[in-house]
Amino acid sequence: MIEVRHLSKSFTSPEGSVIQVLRDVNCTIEKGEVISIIGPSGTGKSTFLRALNLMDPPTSGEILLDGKDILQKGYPLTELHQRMGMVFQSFNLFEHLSILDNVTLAPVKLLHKTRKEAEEEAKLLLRKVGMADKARSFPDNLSGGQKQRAAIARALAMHPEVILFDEPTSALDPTMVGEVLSVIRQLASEGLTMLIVTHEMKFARDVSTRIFFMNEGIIYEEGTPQQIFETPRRSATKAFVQRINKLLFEVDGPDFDFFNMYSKMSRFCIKYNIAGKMDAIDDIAQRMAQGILRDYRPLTVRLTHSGMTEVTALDFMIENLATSPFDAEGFDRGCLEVIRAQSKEIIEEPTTRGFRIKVLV
Amino acid sequence: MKKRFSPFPFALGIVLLLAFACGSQQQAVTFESEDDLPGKRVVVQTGSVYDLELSARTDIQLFRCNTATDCIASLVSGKSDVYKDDEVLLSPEDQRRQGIRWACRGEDAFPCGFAFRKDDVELVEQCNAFLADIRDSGLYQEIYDRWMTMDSEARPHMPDDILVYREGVPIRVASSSSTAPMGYQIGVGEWEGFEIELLKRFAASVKRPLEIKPYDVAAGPAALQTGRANLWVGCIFITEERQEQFLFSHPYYECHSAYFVKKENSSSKGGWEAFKQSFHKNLVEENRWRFIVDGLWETLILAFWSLVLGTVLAGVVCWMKRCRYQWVRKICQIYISLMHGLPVLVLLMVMFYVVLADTSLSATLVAIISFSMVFAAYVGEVFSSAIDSVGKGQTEAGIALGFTPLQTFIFVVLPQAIKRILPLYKAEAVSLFKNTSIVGYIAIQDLTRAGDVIRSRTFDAFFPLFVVSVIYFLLAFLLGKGLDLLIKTKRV
Repeated sequence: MIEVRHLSKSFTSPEGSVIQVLRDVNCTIEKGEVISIIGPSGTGKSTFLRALNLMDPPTSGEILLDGKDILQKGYPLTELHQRMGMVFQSFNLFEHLSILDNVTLAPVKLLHKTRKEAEEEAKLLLRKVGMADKARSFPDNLSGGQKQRAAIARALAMHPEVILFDEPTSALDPTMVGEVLSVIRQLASEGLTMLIVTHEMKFARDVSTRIFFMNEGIIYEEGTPQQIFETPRRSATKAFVQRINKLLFEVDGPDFDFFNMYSKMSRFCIKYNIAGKMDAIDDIAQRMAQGILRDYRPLTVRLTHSGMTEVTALDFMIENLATSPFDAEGFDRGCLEVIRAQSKEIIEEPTTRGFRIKVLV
Repeated sequence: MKKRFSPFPFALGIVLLLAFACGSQQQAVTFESEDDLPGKRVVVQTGSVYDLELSARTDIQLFRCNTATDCIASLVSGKSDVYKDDEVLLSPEDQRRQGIRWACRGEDAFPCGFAFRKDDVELVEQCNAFLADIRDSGLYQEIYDRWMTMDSEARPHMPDDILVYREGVPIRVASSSSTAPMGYQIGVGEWEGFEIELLKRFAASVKRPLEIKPYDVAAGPAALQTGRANLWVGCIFITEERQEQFLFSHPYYECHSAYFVKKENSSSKGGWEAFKQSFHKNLVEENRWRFIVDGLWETLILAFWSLVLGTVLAGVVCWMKRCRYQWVRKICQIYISLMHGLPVLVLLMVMFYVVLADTSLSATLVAIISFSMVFAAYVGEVFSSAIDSVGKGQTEAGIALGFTPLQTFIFVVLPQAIKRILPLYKAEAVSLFKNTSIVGYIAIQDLTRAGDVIRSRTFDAFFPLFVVSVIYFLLAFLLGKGLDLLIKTKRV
C-alpha cells in the first residue's frame, strides 16, 4: 500500500550548517498493518512520519501510495491527507469549536455530508472513544487524555485508510496515558492500518504487527515485536530495547536528605510512565529507611525500571551486614507489613559486601 | 456582571462645561488707541495680514486663531485682551450679542480683491471687466448699500433675480469668509453676503456655474495653487507678497482694520434662561439645526466607508505583511511605519493638496481613502499578530484532515483570530470615528465643521461646541457598545 524508497531529509540550521535527519529510509507498509516506530530521541521518528503525509516534505526519495509517487508535482494533496489521517502529540483540537463540531467540520465541508448525517456519525465515533458525553464541551474544558481521544475521533471521521500517530501520549499526564492507549489498541484490533511513533515499549510490543527501530536517520532494524524485543540482531537495537532506567542513591550517614530522594523517585516514575507505582515506591522507600537506619549503616538505594518488561525494582544494599535486617530485633513490624503489602515480591540475599534486599513493585 | 451606563459623570461634565462658558468674568482692559497696544495680548486670524504685521512686534503677545469665531471666543473668555480684524467683520448688533465692542479703528486700510492662479489670466480679465461694468452701471453701489449698511437684526436677502447657470465648467470658489456681511452660509452650501453676490453676478456674466467651498484663511492659498479652486475670496488683501503668488482682480472693497475689546460688565444671563436662549439662537433660528444634521450625516458616511474600506485594506496589509516574498513584506513595512509616523491631519492634507490634487476625486472620497490607509496600517498589524497567535498546530490539524491551506485559514484560523482581534478593532474603530473631525481642513462640512459654521453665524463660542461634543460622545459610546455586543456573541 505504501512504499518508501531512499527517503532523505535535511534541514539547514540557523547557523547555516546542514543537518541530515533522515538519511535513507526504505520500507513497505501493507494494508491492515500496525507499525510502531521506536528508537532513541533525535533519530528522525517524527520527521519520518511527518514526511510520509508531506507535512514536512522530504528532501529526496519516493513515497508510493498504491503505486503512485505522492512527491510528484500535481499529486492531489488534499486527497492524500484525506486518505492518511494524523493524530498529533499536542492534540491540536480546533479551539473555537465544540468537540462535536471538531469531528463534523471536515466531513461537512469536505465530504459534503449533511449536518445531520455528520453529527450522527460523529456521535457514534465519540461513543467509541468514550467521549459521547463531552460532545458539547469545548477543548479548553477537557483533560489531555480526553482531548487526544476526541482528536482520534476527528481523524476517524474522514475514514482514512491509514492513521499516523505522532507520539500520541508524550504530552499527557502519566495518569491519562492508559485511556489513550486503550483506544488505539481497540482500533488496532479492528484492522485499521496505523503507524505509531511511541516511547511506550510494552504497548508497542502488544499492539504492533511490526516494529521499526529507527537509529541514525535510517530504519536500523525491523521485524515482528518478538524479533525486535526478544531476539534483536543488532547491538544498538538490543541496547535500546533492553535498556534499564536507573536511579542511584548513596546513603552515607544520618545527614542524608531523604526527602530529596523521595521526590527524585516520584519524578522518575512520572518520566517513565509508572506513576501508578509511585505510591508503592514511596511507601516502601520510607519504611525501609525507618527500619534500617536505626544503626546508620552505609546503604545504597537503587530504583530501576525496564520499559520492555515493565519490571520496576527497588534495591537496598546494606554494607557490613550478614543477616536480613528484617530479622533484626529493632526492625519495626508495622513497617515490614506495609512493605510486604506494597510489593509483588521480596528477595533477600547476602552478598560479598553485606546484605541485599530487592523489592519488586 | 453587567455594567450599566450611568448618566451622572456625563451630567457633571455638562455642568462643568456650562460653568466654564458662563463663568470666566475678567477685568476690563483699557484700550483707546493703537498706542495702547504694548503689553497687550492680541489675537488675530492665522495667516491674515494682521498676523504678518503684528508678528514682527516684540512688545505684544500674539495669539492666532483659525477663524473669527475662535478669535472672539478667545477675547470673551479672557485669553486675550484685544482682537484685530477687518472692521466690517462684526456689525454693531453682532458685537452687542457677543459682549464685545469696537475700540478703535486701525491705521491701515487694505484693498481687497479676488485671488486667482497665476496662469488664469483670462478669468482675471473677465472679472475685471465685470467689476468695471457694475461700477459704471451703479449696480455695485446698490450691492454695497444692501449688505454694508446691515446693522440690525433685519438681515438683507440675496436678490433672487440673479441668473444661475448649471451647465459648463464651474468656477470653483474657495471662500475664507464665514461671517456677515461679506460671505456666510445660511444653509449647507447656501451662501449669502456682499462678496457672494458679487461672485454670483460675475458667474452669471460669464455664463458659468458657481461652486463655493469653505476653506480656512490658511488653507485658501493651497486650494488655489493645487487647482482645487479657481478663485479665492474672503476679504483677501492685495499685498505685494501675495501678488508674487497670485493674480488679483481690481479691488472691490477697501477694508479698514479695527480693534475689538471685551465689553465692560457685559451682563450675561445665567442658568436655564441662557441655555434656552443659546438653544434657540444656535439651533432653531434660520433652521440652523440643519447644519448639525447634514454634518452628522457627512461624518457618519465618512466613518462608515472608512471603516469598511479600511477593514478591507487591513486585510491586504495583513496579507502583504505575511507574504512569502521579502520585497512585498518590505514595502508593507515601509507603508506601516509611514502611517504610524505621520499625523492623520498632515496625511489628509498631503493626500488632498499634493498626492490626489490633480484627480477629480471629491474631498469626501480623499478623506475616506486617507482614513482607510491609516486604519489599515494599524488594524492590519493587529490582524497579523492575531493570526500569529493562533498556533501552528491548528493549521497543521486542518491540513492533515484534507483541507487546502485557504480552507484551513477560513474555517480554522480566521474564526479564532477574529475573536482575538475584536477588542483592539473596537478601539481603533472608535478612534477612527473621532478622527474624522479633522476633515474640515479639506473643506468638508462634517459635524465639527457644522458647529464652526453655526459659531461663525451666531458668534456663540460654546453652545455649538457643546452640542457637537454631546453628539460625538453619544455616537462613540454607541459604536463601542455595538462592537462590545458583537464581541459577546462571538465568545462562547
